[in-house]
Amino acid sequence: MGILDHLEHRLGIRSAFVESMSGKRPPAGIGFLRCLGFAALTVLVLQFLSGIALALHYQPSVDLAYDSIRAFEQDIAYGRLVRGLHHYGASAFVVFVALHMLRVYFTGAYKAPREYTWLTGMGLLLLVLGFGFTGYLLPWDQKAYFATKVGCEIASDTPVVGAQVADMLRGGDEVGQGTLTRFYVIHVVLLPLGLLGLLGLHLYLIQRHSVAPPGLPVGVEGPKGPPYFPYHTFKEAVVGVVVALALFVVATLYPAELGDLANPADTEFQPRPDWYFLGLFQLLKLFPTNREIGTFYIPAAFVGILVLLPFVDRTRARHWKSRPIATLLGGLACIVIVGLTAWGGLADRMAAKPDDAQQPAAEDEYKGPDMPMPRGLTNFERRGYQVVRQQKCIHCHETRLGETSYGRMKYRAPGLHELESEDAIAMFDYITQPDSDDMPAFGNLPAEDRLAAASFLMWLRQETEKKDK
Amino acid sequence: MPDDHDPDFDEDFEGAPQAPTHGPSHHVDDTPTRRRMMSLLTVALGGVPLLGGLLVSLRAGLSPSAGERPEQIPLCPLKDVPESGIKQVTVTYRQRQGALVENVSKVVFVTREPTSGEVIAMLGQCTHLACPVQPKPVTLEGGEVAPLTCPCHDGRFSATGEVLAGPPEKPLKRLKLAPLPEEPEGMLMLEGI
Repeated sequence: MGILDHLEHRLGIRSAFVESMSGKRPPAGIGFLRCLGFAALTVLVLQFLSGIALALHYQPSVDLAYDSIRAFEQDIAYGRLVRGLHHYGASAFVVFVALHMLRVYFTGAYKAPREYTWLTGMGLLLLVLGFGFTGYLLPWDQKAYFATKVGCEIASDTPVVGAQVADMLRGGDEVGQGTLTRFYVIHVVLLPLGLLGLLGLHLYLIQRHSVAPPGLPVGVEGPKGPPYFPYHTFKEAVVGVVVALALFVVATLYPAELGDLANPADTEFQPRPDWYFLGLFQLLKLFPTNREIGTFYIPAAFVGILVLLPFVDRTRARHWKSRPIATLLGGLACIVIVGLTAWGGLADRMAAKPDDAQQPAAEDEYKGPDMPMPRGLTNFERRGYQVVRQQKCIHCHETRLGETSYGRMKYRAPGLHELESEDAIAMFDYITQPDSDDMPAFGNLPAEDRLAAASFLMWLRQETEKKDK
Repeated sequence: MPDDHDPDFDEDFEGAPQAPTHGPSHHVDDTPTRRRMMSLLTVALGGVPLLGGLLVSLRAGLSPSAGERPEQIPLCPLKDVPESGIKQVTVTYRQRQGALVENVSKVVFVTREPTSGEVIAMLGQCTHLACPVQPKPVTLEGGEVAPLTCPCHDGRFSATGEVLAGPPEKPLKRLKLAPLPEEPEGMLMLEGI
């Protein structure tokens, strides 16, 4: 008696799953279109795995979140790949869940007795969007910060309890550390728990009722096809491999973007949501007044209609040609959603440009790239870096960071990496009240900011000296 | 016990005493009414720890931490407010939220009321969806120039924060200023933000 037989006798896994599945015969004529749900499941497994790897390195604090992602990408073997997988996996998940839902809608598969399979699927879709919204904040870069600020503002449009909902999400009245902690817990604890529960129910219901026979009205059992296992599962396995391969290729060729560190004081940044919220974001342009129509009532009505769909649509026909109204409405909804998303994507280019002519004396202004945030800064020095950046020091001090130069020299100012002050205190005094006519005094900045800037500049000089040796 | 015969299974338990098929048992009066009553009680009792735990955990978990922020926040010296035009200031203040103390930064626009010359301060955050407002002039269709713009949904504001175009319904939030300092070098103070 082999070990496998022994385990089978004690655990009964083979008879419970494989044999019961090979005994089940789904309707004839189901093909690759019935594998979209499995494609989503494949992505989900990759999301769990890559998400756990990310969570083991991630620091959910506003001081460290950004750097922990950067270090994960730059120092850890396969780090860039894993973050890419998680980043594109999020989009792929939304795509497959949406396609799966469209397939179920247009084939009428949500009708009796599968109303609750549809309902759990709707729940899963909402959880997926929740994952997207909370996960977007975690890298704590510019787009993360500002998109979340806007998102919480949208949540405050919920009737009656809006303000409370927004406060609960933010954990206070500003997007900050409290928000990051909450989003992290929601993203890695609450949503996965809910997802696993709902997914279990969803899969159980699919096993219980099998797949809807293609094209046949409710109540008509057509001819049976070959057993589910291994015939349909083989197609699913092929789909799984193709999806995983595609994600690996995309994540390798186009590493996920990490923008600048979040800076609440930046007025230059233009917030954009992730692409699957773009349609919703764009919808708001259509409601110049009463924005809650676009932020709450239309999305809520849309979800409400989808939730009630199998209970309202009691007709028997399943084939799309036999239910022209449902097909027409579904097609229209697709066109509107795709159209709004595409419009949102194009809006950046179509947006009215500010009148450059009216900008004051921009002629000899430095227009090159900003100095990127160096690695290896303490929290305090990092704040100093942001002060230096906000005060546009490199507009007069040409500065070297590693091998690259930033900024341009004006008034023969020395580079920021070669300032001569003896220590941070002397640097602080110089920033506060310089003894040069060309250098403006920065005494109006908070003392802490001046000291932070001085600490950063000392770090920069020591780092450059170390590298030059 | 599984029905199918497995010699391996029997081996493991060779010599094990057989459980008596009939033996003394506690007498349970199993009537349909009693059974229904017990089922109801089971569900109700099972719900107590669940509901109790859910209630207090949700209440405690979801409430935002208690916070406090300074009553007065320094803005900029009075002499820095231009006679015409808008000055952009980043104010930073300490905010406590539970155990956490953070430096919160916000953009404030300072200008003068064109007619009265009164100093006004506005929060640089769009009243539509909280996007950052940019001090970039845009010419509107009628030829009027909007000095403050929001890039998200094309909101346009006048120098004093009134809505000129776009979806915002409310003007930029006016911030209350403490009585002006007497010296031009004196600091303008915000009372709340």
